[in-house]
Amino acid sequence: MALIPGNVDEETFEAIYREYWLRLYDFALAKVHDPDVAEEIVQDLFVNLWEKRKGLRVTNLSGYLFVAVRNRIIDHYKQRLFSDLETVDAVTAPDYPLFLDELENEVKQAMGRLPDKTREIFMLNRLEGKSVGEISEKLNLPKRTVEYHITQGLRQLKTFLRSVSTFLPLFLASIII
Amino acid sequence: MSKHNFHTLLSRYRSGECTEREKHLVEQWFSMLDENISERSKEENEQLEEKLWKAIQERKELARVKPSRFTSGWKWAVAAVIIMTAAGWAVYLTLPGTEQAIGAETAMLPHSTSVSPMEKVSTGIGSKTVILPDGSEIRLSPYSSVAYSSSFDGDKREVLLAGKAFFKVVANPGKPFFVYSGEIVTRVLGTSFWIDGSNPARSIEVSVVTGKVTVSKRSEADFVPAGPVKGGVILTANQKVKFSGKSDLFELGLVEEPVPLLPEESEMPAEESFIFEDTPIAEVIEKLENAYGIEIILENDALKGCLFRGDITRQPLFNKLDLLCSAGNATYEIRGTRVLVSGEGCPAAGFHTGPQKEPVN
Repeated sequence: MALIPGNVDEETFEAIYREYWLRLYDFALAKVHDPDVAEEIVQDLFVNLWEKRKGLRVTNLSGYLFVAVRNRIIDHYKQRLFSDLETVDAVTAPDYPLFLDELENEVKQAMGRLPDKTREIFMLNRLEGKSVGEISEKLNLPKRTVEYHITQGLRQLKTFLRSVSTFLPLFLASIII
Repeated sequence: MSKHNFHTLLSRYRSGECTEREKHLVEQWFSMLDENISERSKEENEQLEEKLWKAIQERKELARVKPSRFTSGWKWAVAAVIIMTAAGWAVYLTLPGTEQAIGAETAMLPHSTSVSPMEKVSTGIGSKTVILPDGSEIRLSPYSSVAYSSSFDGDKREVLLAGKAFFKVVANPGKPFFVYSGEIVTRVLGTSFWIDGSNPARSIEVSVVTGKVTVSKRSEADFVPAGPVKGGVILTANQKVKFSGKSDLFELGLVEEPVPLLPEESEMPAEESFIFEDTPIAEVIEKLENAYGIEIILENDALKGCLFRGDITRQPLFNKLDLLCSAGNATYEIRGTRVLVSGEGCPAAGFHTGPQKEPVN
């Protein structure tokens, strides 16, 4: 689980793929909502892993892979935004600080709705890609409880954002279909 | 504009140059992206596992990865504009393109003298930079394709585009440069004659960053421009045109955020300042016109003498105009590629028709 040699051979590479592809794919799919994009993200990730195999030193393979998939998902949204923009402008807009304030406010309000435990579990699962099993072990809770918190968290966030958020149509569009 | 800001935020996060607060924001936003995914059968998963594995194996084999010279699209675009003044023209083309569109058309392209095989480049979720045989560059946005003759050995340079791309074209008047996209063709100007054709189409947009291009409809049977300009439009910097196949019209306008033109002689953009100390609006307008290459018309002479004071260097053009108008009780509207400023004039200026200047000794 938590090992990878400095030099990955074909066999190890395939073993890593077989073990992780499904979780990485589902993670990406849940975030990007498009099977083609999710497939491409997983492919990219593994091709990149192969190319970097010689210099790679990773102590926590699962952590490494989920950070990598997260970065690619964020890049996907970044590119989507970029292709939506009509003008070429490298400058940070003057209202950027204001934008951050508003975004923070929205996120804080949404997250603040969640009970502490739900928020903690929700973040472990949705941000770090920890499985229900892993979270259950880590927090010493039954799996069903963990599952409950995750579903509840997601449901509450959506209800809240649907009813309250007037700002950031894009932010919402990426969450709510 | 929140899209721009959001892009900034994500870029900063990915570059690792963001504050803890920004990091936190992105991560919380990210945690909320999830949608439930539909159940897949065991068979479906097995198929997918093998499909992906095969694709990864293939890409491993031909991993001739060309490292990108610029890390972000923004940096690239700016660099393109800077180099461009010396080297050629830049065009920003947008259309709702598809893979199939270009696939079907590729076969038609090597119509001219060229006998070279076609090169085709497509993007998935990522962008790509394509260097053409003549040194011109195309920054291909996600989910877009271009096709071109691998040698460019004809008497013109022709590129097919489906999707969205940013072009940086090396000037060569002897070999005009054409981009075919959907129902329109864009020609980077060196000499000027043109022909059009007609086909029902979706709307396509061309925006010019620097330089000058013509956009016209494509002829039905041919790629070759063989007559004078007909139904086409000429675009200069900060202008865009939208072509709708349904209405068969070219609709001229200004880009959403015009940028100051670069001085011809220099390769670096001069950071021009727009600081005014009780300057007549007519003078301010003139300075803006020159800086952006956009015609701004003062409808009413009474406006000319209104005085403006302020530093609007860092504002986008339309914010500059907002501020200017508020100083002169005026409003502006965009009419095609021109801006019309109208209003009654400012109370302070009263009946003065000329600028109020302090006496010069």
